[in-house]
Amino acid sequence: MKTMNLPCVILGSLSGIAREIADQLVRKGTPLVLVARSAEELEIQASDLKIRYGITVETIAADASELDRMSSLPEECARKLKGGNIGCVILCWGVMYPQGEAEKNTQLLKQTFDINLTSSALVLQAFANKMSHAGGGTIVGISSVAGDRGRGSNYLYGASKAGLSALLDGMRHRYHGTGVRVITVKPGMVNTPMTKGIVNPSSPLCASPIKVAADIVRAIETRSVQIYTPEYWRLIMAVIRNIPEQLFLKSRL
Amino acid sequence: MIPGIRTSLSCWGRFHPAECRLIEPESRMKLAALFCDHAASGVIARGMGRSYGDSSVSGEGTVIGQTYLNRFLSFDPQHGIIHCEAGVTLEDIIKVSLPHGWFLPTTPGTKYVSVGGAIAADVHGKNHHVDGSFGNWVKGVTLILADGSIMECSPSKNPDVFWATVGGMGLTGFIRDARIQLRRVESSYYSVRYHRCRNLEAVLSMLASTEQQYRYSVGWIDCLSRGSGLGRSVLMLANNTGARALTSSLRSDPFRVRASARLPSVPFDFPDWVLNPFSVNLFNQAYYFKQRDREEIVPYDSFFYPLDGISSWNRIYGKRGFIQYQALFPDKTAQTGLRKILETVSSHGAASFLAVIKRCGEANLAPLSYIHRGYTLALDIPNLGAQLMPLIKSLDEILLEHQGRLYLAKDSMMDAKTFAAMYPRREEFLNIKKQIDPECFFISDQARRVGLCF
Ligand SMILES: Cc1cc2nc3c(=O)[nH]c(=O)nc-3n(C[C@H](O)[C@H](O)[C@H](O)COP(=O)(O)OP(=O)(O)OC[C@H]3O[C@@H](n4cnc5c(N)ncnc54)[C@H](O)[C@@H]3O)c2cc1C
Ligand SMILES: NC(=O)c1ccc[n+]([C@@H]2O[C@H](COP(=O)([O-])OP(=O)(O)OC[C@H]3O[C@@H](n4cnc5c(N)ncnc54)[C@H](OP(=O)(O)O)[C@@H]3O)[C@@H](O)[C@H]2O)c1
Repeated sequence: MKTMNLPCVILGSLSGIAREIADQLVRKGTPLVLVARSAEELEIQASDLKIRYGITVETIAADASELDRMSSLPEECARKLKGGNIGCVILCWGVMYPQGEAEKNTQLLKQTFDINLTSSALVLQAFANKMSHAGGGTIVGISSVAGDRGRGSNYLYGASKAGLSALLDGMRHRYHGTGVRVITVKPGMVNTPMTKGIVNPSSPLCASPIKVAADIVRAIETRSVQIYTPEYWRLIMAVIRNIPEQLFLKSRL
Repeated sequence: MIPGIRTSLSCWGRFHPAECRLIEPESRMKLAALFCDHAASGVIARGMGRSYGDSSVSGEGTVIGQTYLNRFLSFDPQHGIIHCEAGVTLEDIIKVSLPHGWFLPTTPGTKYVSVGGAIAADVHGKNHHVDGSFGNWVKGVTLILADGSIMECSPSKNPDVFWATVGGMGLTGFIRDARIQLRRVESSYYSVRYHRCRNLEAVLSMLASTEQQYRYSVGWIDCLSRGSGLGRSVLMLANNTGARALTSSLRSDPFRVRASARLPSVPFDFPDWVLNPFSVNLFNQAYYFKQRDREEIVPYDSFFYPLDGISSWNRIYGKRGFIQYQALFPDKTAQTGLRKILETVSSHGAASFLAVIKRCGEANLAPLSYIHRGYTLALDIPNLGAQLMPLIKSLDEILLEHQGRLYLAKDSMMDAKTFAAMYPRREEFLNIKKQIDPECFFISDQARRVGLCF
């Protein structure tokens, strides 16, 4: 597909899932701009991709909590690309603090929404503006199944992801027909640093980041608009969403 | 405290599982933080877990996994020098370097081994008699010491610490990254001569007399043949195939990297009865008679890594696991020592699927490096339960009587007294460790067992 030949921006390129996305896109020859907060790690990631696949990638060190900077990120990327068009942006950064800690620590609670929702809205809206001006592009946001229904065990993170899902779905509606395509990605449990110690990596419900990244890359290449990854989470979440509230209250999900 | 996960870890033989706290840092910053973490004690690095016993396991301690610390830092295709983090595997290196005409200077029988593991065990390949072990090809390492400080070590800079780290089983510090000199090759193929030897004597003399002629040599021993046929083997003697010797179809892509088809795998633990002496005997007989003396050109994968084609093959030994016994004898005692080992194993009916014999050349400077001039024999022994310990003890005694020694990367059962007798430079190593790790921050279950700690 054409999108894959145009440069792709990965926000939060050092995340467990994003590393695999970067690998898979580079192997397809997609030019990349990697954005993450550690300049040192970005440099290592770039050298690794260069040595493994012979492709040079651009990098930008930026922290999602610098909210003021978010709306100028698309311009920064364009400058790195010498003014070239951006084909695709993939939002991968996110934080998940243990629910119990976030309930008591306002700093963590605020961060959850700042990173997962506010920064995401600021940066993705800026990309949408730029892309619609340029006449097209693809916006991919990694939300989560946790946003599909608030659950006692993880509702602060879940609420930030519910907001992100609504943002992405609304954006898709807003830009329908303009050439700007928006993809909502809802992973289930994935074996990454985020879930270390929370999810058992050998559980059959825990997917590998390689699989999730492949699903995301395929969604970009095809006409998908909203994916669950692995796909069976669509069914699981349909069931969970439809449990009557009275029954749900008695469960310990 | 850095969150880690409590998990049961063991190595390839699945013999010594232990509860550990596993931490897999995603960045240098998180790695560094570990050394300021008061909850971290009994720390050991873990590569691909391809050692057989408990080298990268620390019960009640902290294990540093390298899932995310596996990135290439630079590659000089002109001089064949690769610089990478220690979690990079030998398979990764082949993929990067072979298309440029460079291969590993030496390689163990599996490519699913990390650079950190290859240095820490000072691994050897089928070319030890010519090229020595992996440590000989390491140009330098960046070591994180117990106090979190960083030390650059090489044969010329901090050489004591460098050589203690080579073969040091992760006990001197955490190897963050390493620079390795690769070998120029003319193709990714090997010209292999298969040669049957009817007994041990023939094997040893053939391995010794072909030393100059072949860079690579290895013998597969049929452990169940007895009497005058004891040690009956098939030898594989090989050199890298020159570009001109390739058929025209291979010559069009001389540095072909084989896609890692890890296709067939052992999907479940075999029941214990599958691997009985009878089935092993059948396997070994078939193997011996299938091999006619001949020459063949084969891809590097089938020559160096015949077992990598079947993933999780360790599961054929069932849930109870197995051990590998790798013995090294100096030239002068090799014949009698090896004979006694083979006799003892077969009289116990301790069937071995794989027994591999290799020629070894000169030792390097590393105090704990396993390998020196002589012959090394590696055999798998399934966990026989109560019978296992007495068998291993009697094998250890044979080794001690013949100035032999065991390989830490394969060891699962050696005790401290035996280790001290086999490794006379142990004290020298511990003195270096005391200087850079006075509180014995780095320790593994194996180190506790064999007394590589204080
Ligand atoms: C099928 C098979 C065939 C084999 N053939 C051979 C052979 O022919 N020749 C041979 O020599 N060996 C052979 N081996 C053994 C294997 O090469 C060694 O055990 C090797 O050390 C395994 O590396 P690993 O990455 O799996 O490390 P692990 O097994 O996880 O760890 C091994 C040691 O390396 C240390 N280590 C790992 N990373 C670091 C680091 N970053 N810093 C410091 N220490 C570190 C660990 O602490 C541990 O002490 C074979 C093993 C198998 C399973
Ligand atoms: N793993 C799962 O089970 C799962 C399930 C559903 C959805 N998701 C979502 O998938 C996405 C990727 O997560 P992952 O699983 O790959 O986890 P991860 O490895 O923990 O990745 C999270 C990334 O977010 C980055 N980040 C955090 N705060 C940041 C900030 N202030 N500025 C810039 N970057 C920041 C982190 O950067 P540093 O490297 O600098 O810390 C890290 O790379 C996340 O949005 C997550 O919510 C994950």
